[in-house]
Amino acid sequence: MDVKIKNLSLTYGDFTAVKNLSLEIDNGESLVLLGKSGCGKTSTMRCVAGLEDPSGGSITIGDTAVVDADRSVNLSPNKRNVGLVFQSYAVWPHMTVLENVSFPLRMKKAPKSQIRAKALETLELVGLAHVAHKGASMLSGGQMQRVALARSLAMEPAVMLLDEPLSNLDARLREDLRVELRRLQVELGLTSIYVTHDQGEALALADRIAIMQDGRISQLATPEETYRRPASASIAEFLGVSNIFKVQPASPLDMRVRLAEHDLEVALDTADAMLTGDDSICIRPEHVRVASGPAPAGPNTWNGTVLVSVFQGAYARCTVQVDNGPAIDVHADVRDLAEFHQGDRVHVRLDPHHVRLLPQHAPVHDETVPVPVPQGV
Amino acid sequence: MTELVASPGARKSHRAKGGPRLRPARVVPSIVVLAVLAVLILVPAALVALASVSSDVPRPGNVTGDLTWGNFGVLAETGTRQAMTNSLVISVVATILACAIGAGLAFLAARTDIHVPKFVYLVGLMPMFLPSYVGALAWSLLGSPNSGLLNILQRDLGLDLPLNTYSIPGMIFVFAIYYAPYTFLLMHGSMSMMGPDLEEAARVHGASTRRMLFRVSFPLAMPALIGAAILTFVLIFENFPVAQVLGSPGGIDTLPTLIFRLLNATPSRGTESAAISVVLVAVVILVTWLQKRFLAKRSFTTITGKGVRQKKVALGRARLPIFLLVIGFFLVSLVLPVLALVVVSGQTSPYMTSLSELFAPGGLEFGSYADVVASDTFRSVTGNSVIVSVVAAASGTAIAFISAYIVYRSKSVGRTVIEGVSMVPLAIPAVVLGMGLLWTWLVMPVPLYGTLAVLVVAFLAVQTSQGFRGIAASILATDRDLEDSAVMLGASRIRAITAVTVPLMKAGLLSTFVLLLMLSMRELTVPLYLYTSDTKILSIAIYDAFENGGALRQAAAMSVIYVVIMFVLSYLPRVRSGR
Ligand SMILES: Nc1ncnc2c1ncn2[C@@H]1O[C@H](COP(=O)(O)OP(=O)(O)OP(=O)(O)O)[C@@H](O)[C@H]1O
Ligand SMILES: [Mg+2]
Repeated sequence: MDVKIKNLSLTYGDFTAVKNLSLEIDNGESLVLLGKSGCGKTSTMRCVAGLEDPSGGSITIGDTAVVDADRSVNLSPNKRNVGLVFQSYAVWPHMTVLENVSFPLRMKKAPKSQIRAKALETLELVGLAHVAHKGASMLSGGQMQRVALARSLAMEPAVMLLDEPLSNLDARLREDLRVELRRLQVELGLTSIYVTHDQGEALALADRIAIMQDGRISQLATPEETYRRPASASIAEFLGVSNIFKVQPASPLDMRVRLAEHDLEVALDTADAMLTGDDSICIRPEHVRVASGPAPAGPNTWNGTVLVSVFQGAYARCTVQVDNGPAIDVHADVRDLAEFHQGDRVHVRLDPHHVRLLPQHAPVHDETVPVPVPQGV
Repeated sequence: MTELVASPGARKSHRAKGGPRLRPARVVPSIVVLAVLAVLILVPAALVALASVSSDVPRPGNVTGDLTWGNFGVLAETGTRQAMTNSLVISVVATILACAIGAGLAFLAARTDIHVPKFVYLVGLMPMFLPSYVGALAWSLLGSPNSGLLNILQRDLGLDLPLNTYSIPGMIFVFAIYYAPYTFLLMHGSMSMMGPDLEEAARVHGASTRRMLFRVSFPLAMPALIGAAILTFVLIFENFPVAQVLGSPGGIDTLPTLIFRLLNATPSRGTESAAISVVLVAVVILVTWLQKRFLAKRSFTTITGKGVRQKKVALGRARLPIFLLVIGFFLVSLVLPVLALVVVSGQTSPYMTSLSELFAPGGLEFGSYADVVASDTFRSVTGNSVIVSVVAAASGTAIAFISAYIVYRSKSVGRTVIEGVSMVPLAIPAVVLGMGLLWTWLVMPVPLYGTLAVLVVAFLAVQTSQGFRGIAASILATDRDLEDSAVMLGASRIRAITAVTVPLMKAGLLSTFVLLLMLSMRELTVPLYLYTSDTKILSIAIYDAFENGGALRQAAAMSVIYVVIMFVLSYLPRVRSGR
């Protein structure tokens, strides 16, 4: 079912963890809340689940208002039919796997025979039927994660909330389970909100990604859009864009900007950036070309020296110190690797349309002003 | 679809500040629990405070007398000042001894190559399981000036050492023995957790073992020792039973015995008792506050908490003599007292002049046990004890669970108040709280006084803090997501608690229950105020039997049975957790 969050606020004592947040999730959609540790992702999710009482705003699931601070509506968590998979698994160690998964069905007072059949069927779905009768404390981390998932799936929730469900697993398992989660979500048509601080996970699992910063949502877009057009320098930085340089204030119509800390001009190919006076250019390392020899003429072509070059498998990661300019991260094709060593003179080239001019922070979404949709350059 | 939802007409009257409104679920349980705790603890405490500034003690229909400061005049009396001096001298000296013994045994068991360290560990711990006043009673059988078994033995051997447990040194000795385990436990924990790196650093820099110990290890353990010392001081300072058993025959008063004696004097001087109580409580609060400060500082001891393997200190040639000293302590603290109780329970001639009489035919005969077990009195007091203790322990565990749940798991109003009130009994000595409870249940318009129920209520009051602490530790160790996930899966909060939280806390609940059961079984002070002839319990019956002389054999036999019960009880949780 679809979920509508309106003007949600949550305070812990004096501290406001969620600030006037609004968000809509369509039926069957997978929305990923992506953000740094402490930005309020779990808090938002716990409000939807009903484990925290928001100090303002409302949440509607399907046609039911589950909480509305202004109207004193507050449905208790067990009546919301919301599934929540905890980061800590929260699988009950004093029960068997089957008992864990049967629990929500027992709470729904389903007939005994149905409970068993349905629980086993759900375990089958997550590939755990063979451990149904094991004690839950005997399972591996990945298995526990699946039990937690199966337990929530068994209740056929209106919305499924997953709070960093894979963060306690090792990298390999994480990638396998990521794919499996996406398959289940699509197959079952689950409406889900997925919390993570791992951008890879977000890109793989999301229909839309909501980037959360400091209790607010600062960008809401498809994974592709998010990746290509981060709305601000701080989002770009969070998404792993390593070349971010402050620029001097410039007129929006200029097609060139000057770096704040270096005597270097950079050409852009768009002029519609929203300049705030605190702007940066952001360049993904894979968009920078590096070649040996002196720079040919052309926009954004600079001479420099290789500071370090590291083999990373699919590519080589170099840092090039541009003469009179910043050190730039470059992902070079591995075939070129042999050519670059520390201290080599090279030149780097950068297509102006890969340079994004971004404000430091996405504009704050104010309570009374309708929110402009933050757009990339 | 990729739009952030605009917020049309977001109201200005937004409840961003001020937090969520109060729901009944956040208020009702708190109020109920606070009301229960208030009746159990605050009312008795308030009545004592009230009586101290009142011309008359609380009576049914007349709770307050006229306001007066005159009761505090009792503090200037010689008797009171003597009792204060006695209390201080006994507590300070006994604390120093107890800490020396406890810390020494802890060091030996944890850090040296002493013989059978497990045995040394038990020696350090075991005196705790003998209720201190039973130890005192047993030592009065051993060391009373005339008929004490040890003094009879002296006469047999032609010795004449001054041995008298009915004296201040005698009391200090008994206190030191039975309060050493507290220091032992705290220090053993601290010494076996101490990270070896600091010590090794000292060794690397060329310090000898001895210098390392004195320069590094002991200073590191110092905060724990100070904490233990203050705890021990408070426990001894407020102890009533031992002082009563050993002090009253020789006319030695401490503050607790004085409070009890004044209240029971004819005519009763209850308001003056209350005045002294206020002073006693003030001292305890002051000292407890000091303890808090020291324990708070304890974090600098770099306790790593990893089960690190430490170097054992070699005792060298002192190894055997030191081990013999440990055995000596074991004899004095446990073997001799229990033996004395056994001997007296089988001793046929009430007036013995030589121990050889015991070995004459018919000199020792254990028919007394059959008599005791068969007697109606024993059956009824044991029955009472079991009923009162089980009910008090079970309801105490339940109250502690509910309070700790509200404090640590809910957002209810008044959480900190509940926690605070639960800790109040720590600051009120049993001898004071007992007096307050007596007045409370005489005054209350509920006919509880004179029933077993009043004893249950009293035990609940006295043991609130211990129960709360036990459950709090366990609740904090249980991940709350486990319960929340049950709620998310459709269970009501109550159902989630019973289906998930309680089963997961089973071990903690059980050990708290057993702890409260033990405390109830050994509690003497509070029931002494509240029992009637129909509601005697085992601890009272034993105390009574010794006080009134008379059937000493039966009294001793009863004590032996009691001691056996106490050891079994304290062993139970170990058996369970061992698995
Ligand atoms: N019970 C609480 N009381 C007070 N402050 C809290 C509480 N829970 C969370 N916070 C604060 O609210 C903020 C948001 O917390 P939240 O758990 O939502 O972050 P998060 O985005 O989920 O972070 P993470 O990725 O680390 O899980 C944090 O600054 C945190 O310190
Ligand atoms: Mg979180």
